[in-house]
Amino acid sequence: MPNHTRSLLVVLSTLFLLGVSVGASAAQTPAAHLTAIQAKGDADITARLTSLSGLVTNVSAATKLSTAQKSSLTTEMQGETTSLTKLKTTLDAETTVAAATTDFKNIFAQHYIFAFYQPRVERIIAADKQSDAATLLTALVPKLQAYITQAQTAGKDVTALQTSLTEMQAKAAEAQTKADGVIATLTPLTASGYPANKTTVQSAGTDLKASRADLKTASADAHSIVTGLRKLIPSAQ
Amino acid sequence: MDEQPTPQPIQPPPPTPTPKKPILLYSLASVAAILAILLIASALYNRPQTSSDTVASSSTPTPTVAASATPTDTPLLASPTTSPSAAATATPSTVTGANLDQSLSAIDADLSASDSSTTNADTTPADTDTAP
Repeated sequence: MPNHTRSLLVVLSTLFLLGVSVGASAAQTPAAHLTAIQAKGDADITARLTSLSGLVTNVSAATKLSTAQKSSLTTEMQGETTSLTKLKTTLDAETTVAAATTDFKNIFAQHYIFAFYQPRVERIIAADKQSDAATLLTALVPKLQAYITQAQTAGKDVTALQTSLTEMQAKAAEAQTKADGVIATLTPLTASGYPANKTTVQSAGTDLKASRADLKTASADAHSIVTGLRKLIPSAQ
Repeated sequence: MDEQPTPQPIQPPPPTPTPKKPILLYSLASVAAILAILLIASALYNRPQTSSDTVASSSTPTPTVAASATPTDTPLLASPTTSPSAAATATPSTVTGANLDQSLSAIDADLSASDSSTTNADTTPADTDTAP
């Protein structure tokens, strides 16, 4: 056999083998496709169940939410947990790609965990914490005022401390109003209202950022007042 | 013959009247006894009470006996509610350094938790419903 003919055969054989290999990977078998859908679906469901579990825990630990608000939120998320767990069982039992695909899409079409629940409930929890911080700051005002008055009576210059305290009180009050407003706005929303209520959830995020800015100022005032008082009043150490 | 006069029976001597002197003595003695009783009674009534009276009256529950138990019980009952720590917790009348630090720590913890929740809300994974 001539050399050029031999070389041509080698090239053709190589191309044939490469073609078989590429074809096999592109044409996934139905069983493998079903398994892939189920694996991806299980992972997505697990991620949502983990999110829901964390949200329920945080809601139960909230300090400013009412008992009714906690109960309502918890009931919602426990219902989603039950439904998603059932969907996972159904998905895992499917035997056709078409049925598994339908189940997979229902993870997102019927359960707005990442689209609605997590942004909404996390913002409610954030608002709860901010409201609690505002309450603590407000409760601190008379204590700090007593020390400032004590220092003033002792002849100390408390002008700066008094100014900071006034600002701290005002910012805490503003933050309290905004945070409580976020709780009142987001708590009644339901998944059935999604995506129409998406803008409401996003707007609450903007309010929270404004509230957080107020609290940052108020907290900085509280720290600076305490530091200043301890310089003026040794007993405050 | 001369009739002999019948001798007159001898009349018993009239009973000797009871001398008046003993009766007088008895009367005086009675009056003295009554006076003595009255004096003793008066003395007993007016004399100051002694501890023996309290003991005697203790056979029946009296306020004196009940009151004697009160001072013993009062400190035991009152001490837990009037301890300085409990009073300070209920109504802090003064500010202590520990209270200030605790308040600032609690505020910082709230703000940190709020930031964490805000981050979780803002970084929610996108829902990608494209099946593999």
